[in-house]
Amino acid sequence: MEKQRRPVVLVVEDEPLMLMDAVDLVTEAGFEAIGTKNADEAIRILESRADIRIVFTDVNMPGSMDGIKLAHAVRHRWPPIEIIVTSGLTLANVEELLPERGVFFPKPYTPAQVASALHRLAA
Amino acid sequence: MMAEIEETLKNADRGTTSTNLSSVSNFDAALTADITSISQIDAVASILEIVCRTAGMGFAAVARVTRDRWVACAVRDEIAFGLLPGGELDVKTTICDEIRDSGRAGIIDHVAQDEHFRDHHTPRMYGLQSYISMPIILPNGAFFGTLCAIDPRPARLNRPEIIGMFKNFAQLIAFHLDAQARAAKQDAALLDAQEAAKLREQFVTILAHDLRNPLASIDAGVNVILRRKPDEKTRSIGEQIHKSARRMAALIDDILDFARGRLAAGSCLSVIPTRRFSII
Repeated sequence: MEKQRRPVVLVVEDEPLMLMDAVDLVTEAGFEAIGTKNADEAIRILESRADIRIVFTDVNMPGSMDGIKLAHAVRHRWPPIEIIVTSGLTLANVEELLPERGVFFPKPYTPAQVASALHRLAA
Repeated sequence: MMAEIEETLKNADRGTTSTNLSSVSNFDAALTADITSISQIDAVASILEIVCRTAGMGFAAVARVTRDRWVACAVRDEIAFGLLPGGELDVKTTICDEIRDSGRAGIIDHVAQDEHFRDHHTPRMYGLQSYISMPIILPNGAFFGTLCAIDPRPARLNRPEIIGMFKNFAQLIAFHLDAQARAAKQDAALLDAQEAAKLREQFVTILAHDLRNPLASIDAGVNVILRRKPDEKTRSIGEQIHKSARRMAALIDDILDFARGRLAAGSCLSVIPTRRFSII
């Protein structure tokens, strides 16, 4: 019997150590993690493969898009993909900034938070 | 007589090009400020009224006199002399010019009987017979202008009580002008200090926010190392880094809480400045 493939999560984070940590957490939670350091690269990866289930992104990043814009772009171009947005900044009315079905949690986040959000969205 | 005065005034005005005080030069702006300063001294109107009544003069003014300008700052005109605040005379046609140079009062009881002024151009030009002008000297020694009065009739001005009155009023005006200038300076200094305090607090807030990111990176890096089952020594170092990072995060939170509290309270400058500096 073929082992069921783990769902793929695209992690977008410009701080290398934060990215490594996030990729670890996603992997530990039972997912396949792909790490990338900005939204433009994230879009290229999304265009190149069809198996991504969840995008997990930071807000403040260099490049043409921040995490919020990326979230909207994903919702618009790949409607089935789930979106998690995280930030160290205190954002007022962050829920209103997110696209439909977008999930936000502030940094610093715990492994349990990440795991439970991923499982809920992947279910 | 009045027609004559009007005529000479017109002639005098012809000699000056700028009675328009909204003119653009800095010099005019400074003169406009001087007129405003005088207009803000409530006592000036009363001073001019008392001066006219007591000395029996029909026209009195506080004039700003520079090397090449004579500008009326405040005026009491009972003889339709025709000069309004902001109005200008060609300084060379006035005796105030000489007052400015000498720094001493000028007094003429009766022009027709005065040896020096009988043939002077000013009385002839403005049709006046009596004249008094007291320099307004600011406390720093600078010459501001004059408190002056004229009348087409002779008057007994050369008396100690009249001279004393003019002298005292001129001093009073100078004192008011100086107090105004100092108050304006203090206001400006206070505004600067408030602005600087606000900027400093904004800077502290932004700095504290920006410190969080690299700190989170350090913490995340240690997480990554500890997850890779390191030897005991490395693990212990990692734990120590975690501890330090948590301590630093708490300090940053303190700074942010403090800055937020102060900003929310409206940046009150003088409450507890030493505590703020000790936290930074």
